[in-house]
Amino acid sequence: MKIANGILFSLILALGLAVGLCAPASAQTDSQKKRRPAKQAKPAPKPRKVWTDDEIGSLRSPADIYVDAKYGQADGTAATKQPVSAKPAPHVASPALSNPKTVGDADKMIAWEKRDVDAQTEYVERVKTQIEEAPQEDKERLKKVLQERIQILADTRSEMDTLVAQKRELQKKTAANSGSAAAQPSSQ
Amino acid sequence: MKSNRINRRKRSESGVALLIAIFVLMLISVVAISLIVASGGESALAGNYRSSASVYLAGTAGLEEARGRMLPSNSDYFNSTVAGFMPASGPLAVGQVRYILNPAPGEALGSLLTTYPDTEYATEFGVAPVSANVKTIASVSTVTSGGTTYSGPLFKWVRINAATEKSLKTDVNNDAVLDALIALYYDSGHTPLPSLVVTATPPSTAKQALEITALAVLPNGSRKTMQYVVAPQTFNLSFPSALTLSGKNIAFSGANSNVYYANGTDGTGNPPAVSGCTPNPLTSLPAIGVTEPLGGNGNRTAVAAGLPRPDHYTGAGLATPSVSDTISLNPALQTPASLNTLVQSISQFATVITPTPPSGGLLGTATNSDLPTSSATNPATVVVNGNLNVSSYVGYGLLVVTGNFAYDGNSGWKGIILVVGDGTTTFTGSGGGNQEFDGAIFVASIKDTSGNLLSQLGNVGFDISGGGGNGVYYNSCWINSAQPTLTYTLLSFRELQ
Repeated sequence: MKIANGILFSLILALGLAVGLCAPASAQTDSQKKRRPAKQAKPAPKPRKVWTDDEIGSLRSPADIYVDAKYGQADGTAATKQPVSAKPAPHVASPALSNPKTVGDADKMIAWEKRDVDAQTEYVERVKTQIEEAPQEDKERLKKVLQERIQILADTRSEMDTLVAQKRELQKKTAANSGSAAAQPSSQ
Repeated sequence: MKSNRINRRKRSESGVALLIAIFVLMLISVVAISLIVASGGESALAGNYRSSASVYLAGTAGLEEARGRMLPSNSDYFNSTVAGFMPASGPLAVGQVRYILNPAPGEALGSLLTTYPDTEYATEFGVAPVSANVKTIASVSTVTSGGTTYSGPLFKWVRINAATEKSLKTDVNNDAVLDALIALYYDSGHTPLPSLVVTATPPSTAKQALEITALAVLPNGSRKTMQYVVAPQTFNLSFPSALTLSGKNIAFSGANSNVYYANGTDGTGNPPAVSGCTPNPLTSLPAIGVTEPLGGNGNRTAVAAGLPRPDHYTGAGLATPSVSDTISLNPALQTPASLNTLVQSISQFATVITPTPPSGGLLGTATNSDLPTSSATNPATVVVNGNLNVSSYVGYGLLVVTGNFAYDGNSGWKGIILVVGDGTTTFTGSGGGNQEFDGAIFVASIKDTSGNLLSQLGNVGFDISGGGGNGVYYNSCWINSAQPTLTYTLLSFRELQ
């Protein structure tokens, strides 16, 4: 009986020693594996994580994905043409500012041209000021704009002169017509 | 004899109990010590994890504050606090550095960058930022309410600057040189991938890539430096022509004036410059684009027939008048439903929504005084829920009109005009003057006169018979500059230290 007790005690002791030795070792291993002290002195520089394009998707919010899906396909377009053959009535252009039928029409067109000439003259002056104040790299573009506008202004003045001439012709015709109309009754 | 034997045996076993007791005590001690060590390790582990998570979240909070406050729609928009903190339009130049400072209680704002220096900048660019190029602003993460101050996240500073190849240590264009002086741009339309491009003259669709870097430091000394690379995200609207008319029956009256032009070549006319963007004259689109929802070419014929001076409509290398019905529309511009969704989305980012609707469900009419002040460097997003009637008014940005749009010859717009109306939409100019429209104009009818959404696009009217000098000129820079930034898309994220 006493021998059995002795063996039992020996076993307990051996087991206890084994557990006692293993537990701290295990705890130490765990902490070495996972532990990273907050106040670590100066750890070796952590390798920088460089994200690739493939990983960008995982960082996008649902809102980004929605907006992308909705509007991001600016170039992935769908043609809007539809092959059907209905035909709306064509619209007829208003006449340009030329060939007035009456002196009254001519006056209106000349007034129109004068308004455009005045506005364009003001515009040309504005561009000239812009050129003076513009940075060097923009001056060339503005000079080109100025040349174009001066040409447009000259064309518009020329149109106005033509209209003035056409108005004179109309006035002459009107005067001649009224003259012949006045002469006709007297001859009768 | 027997008792002697027993006595001898007793003597030989004496002290065993003590020995056993000592061993048991030792065993208990060893187990107790191992338990203490194990629990200490777990505590340290939990503490480290908590620190690591806290410092990570603090840094992220800083990054997100910067990302949010770059948006003009944000109530704490940088430029609302410090004028000119960020460029309202155009890129942030390389070398310009912006900091959000977030001192903890007891720390001085002015000395924060001395206490917590930004060594990362020098690591990225090779030199420290030049003080003349540095602007700082206080964080809004700490708030005071009812006399109590609630401290925000524990980041110290957030830096915003232009990203370059050198700063990202990425050779974007594979030229074996890490360029330090040219800003990087993000172009969603750029191929082949990657979509980052490095060029001094970026395409108009490219958006500048910005670095946002944050340093977070906890009281226990934990610190982390984190970095985003972001680029602005917009509606990405694109237009197939200078003037686009989309509807069933287009009634078109062109200008009589000799001074009126429409040109689909990028950057024609006399537009004000958009900072950081140069129009590409090689991009040439039709002056006028029309859709043909009924098929055939009725709309194109109608428009061409309505032009008194056909040679004044140029672009896309087409014979004059440059009118095309083989256009492709951005998906958002195709149907009444998609246009309605677009208008709703734009309304969420509008600088102004006007006018106040009159009683009776009728459309109100807005005039000059209802529109916000805008400029080339401060474009606005304006939604007119009704008609718009302007005189001698020049606006910049994105304009949406859900009724009819009328203007005089001294009115103009730089950016995008969407006349997406109720009933028969008209776009009417009254002539004279010398302003111009730079960007793109899109006209469509999506609702009936009762305001119900149409299943198909309705009729469209465009009447500029009054003439004048205010022509329409396609401009990609203004189209892109006009679109509000919806958010800053995250291109990359990395933990630096």
